[in-house]
Amino acid sequence: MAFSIGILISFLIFVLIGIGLSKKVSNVEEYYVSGRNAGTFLITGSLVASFLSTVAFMGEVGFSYDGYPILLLILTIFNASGYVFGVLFFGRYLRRSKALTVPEYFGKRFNSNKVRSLTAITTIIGVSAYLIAVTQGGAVLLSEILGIKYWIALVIMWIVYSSFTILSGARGVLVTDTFMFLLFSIATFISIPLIIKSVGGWPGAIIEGSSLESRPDMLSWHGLTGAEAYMGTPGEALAWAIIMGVVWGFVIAVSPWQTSRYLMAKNEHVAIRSGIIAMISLIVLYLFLQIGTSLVAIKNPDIVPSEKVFIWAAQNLIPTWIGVIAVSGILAAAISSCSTFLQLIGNSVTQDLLPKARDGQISNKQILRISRLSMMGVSVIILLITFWQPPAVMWIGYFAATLFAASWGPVAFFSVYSKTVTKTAAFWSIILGFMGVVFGESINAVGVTLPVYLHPAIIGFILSIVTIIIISKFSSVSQEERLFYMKIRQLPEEELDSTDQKVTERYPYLLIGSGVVVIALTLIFYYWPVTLAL
Amino acid sequence: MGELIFSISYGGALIIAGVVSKVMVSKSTRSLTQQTSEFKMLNKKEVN
Repeated sequence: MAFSIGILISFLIFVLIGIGLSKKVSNVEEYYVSGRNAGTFLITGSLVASFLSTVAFMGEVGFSYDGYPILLLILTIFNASGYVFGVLFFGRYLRRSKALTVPEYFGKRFNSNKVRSLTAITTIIGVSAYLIAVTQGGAVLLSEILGIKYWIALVIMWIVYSSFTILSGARGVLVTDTFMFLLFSIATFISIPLIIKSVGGWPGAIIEGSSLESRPDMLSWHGLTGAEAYMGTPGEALAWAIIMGVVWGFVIAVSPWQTSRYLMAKNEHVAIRSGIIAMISLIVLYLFLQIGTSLVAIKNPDIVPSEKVFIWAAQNLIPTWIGVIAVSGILAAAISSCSTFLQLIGNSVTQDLLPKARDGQISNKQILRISRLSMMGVSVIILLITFWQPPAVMWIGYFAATLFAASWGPVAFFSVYSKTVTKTAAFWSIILGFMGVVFGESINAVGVTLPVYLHPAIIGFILSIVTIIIISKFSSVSQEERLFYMKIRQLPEEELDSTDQKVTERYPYLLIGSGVVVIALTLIFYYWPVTLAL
Repeated sequence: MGELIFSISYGGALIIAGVVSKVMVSKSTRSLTQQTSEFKMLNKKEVN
């Protein structure tokens, strides 16, 4: 009962925030990019909240519980780095474009409606798949906690995230995302120490977890390997973690649900500072979350499906009121991602695909109304698909994310660093990157297991790079493309503030200092107890 | 051994990102200083 009340109260808060903020949205810029005046706190909150979802709190913690917490953390080294590298090498240039959507940036950069429409279509396909996976993950959890049917839980989830997203747009999404970021961070940092305490405390639980009969190598760097395990050899396990980490790093660096947050930042300094804090947040949060949830296997090694491990721990290992915060935090992570995804899809449908809105032929008020209606239509379609598609939280999410890494990654960085890349090259690079991933996944689907170095994302990525280089050599850059390239490479006048610059210059030291603290924490919290078990 | 390498690399990623961002932000500062002095020179010319 306490869980149901806690969840319903948190849902009510999200909807009320959305309704309250909707009154402040009076033009398209506020609806799409929150008036481009968000500070570091809101951008960081939205970056992390839109990234973490049921894929993290259910899919990935389930994977850790199955025997791979350290492997997942190795993956995190690479993907979290995507925040800093992404904002420094792509995000801040994207912001300079003053676009309302990421596809609009590509359209302007290459002076091509074809490229804009193509990136909008890939956004709609990829983000919809991710939205379906996250909605289903949230609904599975909600139906279990509230003791209601799965389809009713789906409808409740849909009503909550659709209502405040449609009403308040980017403004509401930023505020609710940040609120949810705080909620699931508090949930993790309070509940994980208590979960560890309940399974033997520190360092006892880590020592016991290192020599668990049911998962003998669980806390080793490679996790469970062998014929019966998901990973064949330690080398294959490491290759998988590095490849998936780099792929996810690209996802964080270029995917629309991450980079679109920089379009809402007050200035470039805010974008850079937010990327830095987001990386620190993710690294610290994951260290506790993945190792903590894997240790639940000491108490109960038979949770099926393993995606429910954090929920089981919240209901059985910690005091009820903290369990309520933990479960509300997981649902908040799901809803925050859903709202960002819905906002992106709705924005792209209107702003990038409707010719009249794209070319500015209709009034601000009309675009706002059409945006809300198209977002409503999109959300209904997504709801119908979630009814039909069986839930698979982690793997649909991973598939959707790799689509962006492969098809957008090369084009995004070439758009900022290459003077010679052309619209034709960008167009075909996105198509072949996309097809490469789909081709690789299709081969897997018919039962052919590709070696780990031929992961579908790598096939797509290589195809995309080769295409962009070759076609650029045989086509020419237009004057408009050249001018736009020069515009984004020039530091804008409004960024010429030496006070802001001085503050931003301190942030790299924050990263270095946090790195030293995290090394000390990992050595004390994980490495020392593991050596005691040997 | 692998566990030790992991323990150092995990926080090490933050240190590497810190060094890279220091270099990039300093580069921006240099470009900022250059642009500011160019603006000052332009202003001076306009005043004259």
